Amino acid sequence: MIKHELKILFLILVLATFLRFWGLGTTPPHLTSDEAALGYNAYSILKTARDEHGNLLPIVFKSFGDWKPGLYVYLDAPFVGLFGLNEMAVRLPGAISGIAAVFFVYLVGNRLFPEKKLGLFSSFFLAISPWHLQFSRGAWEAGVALTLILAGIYFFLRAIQGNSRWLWLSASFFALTLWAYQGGKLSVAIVIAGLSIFFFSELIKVPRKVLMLAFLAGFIFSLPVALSFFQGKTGRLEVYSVFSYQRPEKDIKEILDQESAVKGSLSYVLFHSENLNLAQGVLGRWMNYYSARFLFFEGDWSNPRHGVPYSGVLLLADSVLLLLGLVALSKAGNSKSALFVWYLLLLSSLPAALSRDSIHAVRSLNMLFPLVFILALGASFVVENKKKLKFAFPLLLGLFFVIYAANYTYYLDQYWVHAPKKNAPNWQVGYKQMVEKVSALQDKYPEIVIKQDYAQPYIFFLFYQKYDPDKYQKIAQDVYVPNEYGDVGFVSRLDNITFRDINWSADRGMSGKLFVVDPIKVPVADSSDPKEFKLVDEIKYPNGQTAFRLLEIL
Amino acid sequence: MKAIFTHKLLIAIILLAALLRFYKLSALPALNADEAAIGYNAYSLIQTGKDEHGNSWPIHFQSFNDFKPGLYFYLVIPFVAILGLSEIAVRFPSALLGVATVLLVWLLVRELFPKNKWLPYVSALFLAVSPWNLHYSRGGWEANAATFFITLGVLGFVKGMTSSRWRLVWPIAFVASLYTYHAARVFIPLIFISLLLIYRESIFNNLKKYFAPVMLSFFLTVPLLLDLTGSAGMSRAAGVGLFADTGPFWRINEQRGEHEQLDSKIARVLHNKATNYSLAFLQNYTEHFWGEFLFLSGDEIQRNKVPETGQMYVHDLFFVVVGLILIARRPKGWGVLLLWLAISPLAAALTFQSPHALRAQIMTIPLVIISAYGALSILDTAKGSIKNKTLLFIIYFLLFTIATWSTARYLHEYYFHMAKTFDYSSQYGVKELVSYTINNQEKYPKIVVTDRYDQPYILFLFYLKYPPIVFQTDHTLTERDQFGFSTVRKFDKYEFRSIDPWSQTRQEYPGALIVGIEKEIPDGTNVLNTIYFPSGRTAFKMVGN
Repeated sequence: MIKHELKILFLILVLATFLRFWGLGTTPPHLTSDEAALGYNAYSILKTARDEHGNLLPIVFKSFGDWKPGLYVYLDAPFVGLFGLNEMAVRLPGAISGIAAVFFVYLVGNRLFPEKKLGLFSSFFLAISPWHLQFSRGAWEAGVALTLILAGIYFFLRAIQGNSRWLWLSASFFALTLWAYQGGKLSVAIVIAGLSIFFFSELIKVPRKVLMLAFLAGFIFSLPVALSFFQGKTGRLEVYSVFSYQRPEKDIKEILDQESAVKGSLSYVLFHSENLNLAQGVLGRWMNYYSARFLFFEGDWSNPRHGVPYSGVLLLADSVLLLLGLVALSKAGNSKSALFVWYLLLLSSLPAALSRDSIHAVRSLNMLFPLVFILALGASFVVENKKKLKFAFPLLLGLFFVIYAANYTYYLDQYWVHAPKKNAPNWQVGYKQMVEKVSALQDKYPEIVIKQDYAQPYIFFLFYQKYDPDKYQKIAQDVYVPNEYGDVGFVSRLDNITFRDINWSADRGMSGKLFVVDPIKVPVADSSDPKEFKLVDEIKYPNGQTAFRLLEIL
Repeated sequence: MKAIFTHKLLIAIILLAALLRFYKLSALPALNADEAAIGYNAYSLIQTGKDEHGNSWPIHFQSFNDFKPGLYFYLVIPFVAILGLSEIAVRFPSALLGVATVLLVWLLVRELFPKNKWLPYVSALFLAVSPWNLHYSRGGWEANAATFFITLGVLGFVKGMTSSRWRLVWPIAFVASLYTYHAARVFIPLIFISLLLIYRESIFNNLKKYFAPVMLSFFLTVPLLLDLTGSAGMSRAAGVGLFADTGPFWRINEQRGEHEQLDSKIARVLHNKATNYSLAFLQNYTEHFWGEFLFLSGDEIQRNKVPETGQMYVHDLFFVVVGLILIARRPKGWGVLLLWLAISPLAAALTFQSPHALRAQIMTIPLVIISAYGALSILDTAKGSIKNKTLLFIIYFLLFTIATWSTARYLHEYYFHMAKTFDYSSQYGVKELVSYTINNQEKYPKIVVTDRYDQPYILFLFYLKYPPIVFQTDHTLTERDQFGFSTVRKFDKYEFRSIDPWSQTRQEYPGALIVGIEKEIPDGTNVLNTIYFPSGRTAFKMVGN
């Protein structure tokens, strides 16, 4: 029996590997600037033991000024050493950690619901999950954090279900997530709190010494990152947090004027206060994570890079299993595991709901745990009740398989055919080609001006030119321009390339220079006169629209 | 003693329901064009036996060429006859049926869960204060009347298992709802099938007893079916149906274009009308269960909503979730209500505006009952598991405070903010406008009124109490617009049209009284009178040419 199960697990892992490795270097269609930064910093560490800004083996990388915790960079360094600085090497740690997550989900599933043997079902659903594929096919720090949390949960369950000496390992994995993902702090705290609440009675039976050791391990591992937070390297919490945004005074006044009330009056305190408004906002966003729109139809509707077109983070056909799974979970009553899954289902979205975006598939990634277990519960609920349906069972099951397969085909089509084309601009398609073309022309011009952008064009030059890290570290301080509002900064130049905003009415006269512009900022009609400009080259999106034009001013 | 007390409780709930439905009923919100059409057509029937367009005693009222189902119009007739052509006459039946629905829910829940002593009361109470039910009880909304008939029908069906009298009630009630509201025509067949499935054993054993009711409902439906084959037919479905939204259709081209070969088999199998419209339909359906819609913001259409209020209260979120979990544990007895909930949004999902509170109003009944069940279960569990009396009192007190607060907030928003925040959405100001023109119409050969707001002609007919016999022969309906609606451009000395551009309108109508909205009338024009919205913004300006 066990042997049989392991065989199936092996097949699931093969499937997971195939889905994550296939075409990894070319789909998604382009590196994001974050991916390029992780890769280049890994390259820099490998060559010089310093990051792009010249800091010796940092724990948190300054990068664009968004302070990326360093685990991914260090995981990536060996791959960059092995395969060179390219897309595949950057994305491999993400993909491998994704496969590891499938394995850990198997272990956790079996531990959490031992009588139901949910391990196989859970690992299968994670292996094929559109949501998990999205963030394990690429250098997503949140994906790595997810795997670490799963490992932490697994060793915790192992520790309390018998062998308590694993507890320190659990604590270490949880602490390690801080090294992996800036946005992971609250998520991890939620998981740890849940484990401690629902498995409290087991936890207090653990010998003092073991508990102390676990605390110590967790403490030591999180200390370096914690210290860096106190130095202000907290990422962009201020920018993201919902608490940084309030209603404009004008809007409040308009509401209060309708009843001739003023701020501070009873009506304001009772019905219109800022806290109430804030709470409503958080509640609204929180509920978005349980909307069919997010789960089944559109996924992360605020960022096309977080999903594929016209698909949710789950399959539409999953809705059936999800409903059955929720019924099964309700029937599981007050068992600790069931309560723990409810708890995760309700709270994993909280970190995302507390941020400003109406929906965010990365910050809510931990919802995958409860969802995968609920899907698995749904599947096992079907198996348990097959006798009730008698002869109709194989028929219904067959029908469901057909629908499920069709649905999955639809998703794969969206992922492989449509997303790379439709979402090309969001994936920053064009920069790689642009770097290649500009690099070939770099000696011909005294100055090349490239439009400054949040896509951080400089990082693609560093990455694809395999720019000598030693050389860049020397100038990094001079060319980095911090952001005055505490958001990410910019890099202003690199050799003879200047990155800046384009002011076409002034720039159009700068003869002899090469400009890299997009057709929105510099309309084609306004830059096509052959007497003034020479169109040196053009870079297009897959749909034929122009991404960049290389213009020489005559 | 106890019996008196419990009945007192029911009476109190009914009184509360009545108070919330009748208080300031004629003033809030402003009468809208559909309500005016109901009132004026009823008035026209009383006086002439024909509707505004001269059709005698119709099943569907032609109105704006949208062929409104007619039963509610007939319910309004006696009230117009007694109270005159007024807002209260149009709204009275709806408010009354809203109160009656509260009583029906009490009866239905008592019938479905005979062992649960408090559930009927809490359900009735929750419906009495439900924003969703209140909103449509306070106005001439056919949907609300349909909700009454459907609830009565289901109650009749359940009671009809044992009582022959009730077996006459449900056919009439179900068919009445078909004559009242479009969405019921999708809902009724499905709820009927659901009821047959749930009570299949009992029905199968008494098959003979169901012969007469089924025949009765069939005969009652015949005139409706005959009428639907005529021009009333599918006019409404074409205007608001799923296919009226061409987005999913154009998406096919876009999606096939992204494939290497547009006409490859895979591109055609994955991207076609069936797939894209099915997805649109399913998404529409599920949007009715979206938390933001149900508990926070409600419908998007301003006329259908109250500022910062969901279709239900925020605390209902908690109650409904707990209720559903408990029902999943022990689903016995909940079959009817769960199926009811599941099929309620289907009709609305067939149209392209989703979620749609009005078309899915029938959802309110099962949701309110589930919420009541959740609330009661929480109280019971707290009572059973918490021994400390102070702590128990605190929990009860907190729940009570939260529920009272959100009800108070809703009422505050309804009475103090709705008319001001959404003043463009309803026809605020038109009543004042008409009373001004009545007093001054002798002075002008023509009165030209902007058509910027929905169907102004019918509101003028309504407030002028214009003689229907004259109107019937003296007007034409325009061609249908893209949503399938027509309007009347002129009657008597009144004309309704776009008054833009201003200079041209002035030239065309020398000596006329011209009424426009603020934007349409340039600054510096000599304005005779201005009418304001409740918020203080300008509604109409009048210019003597």
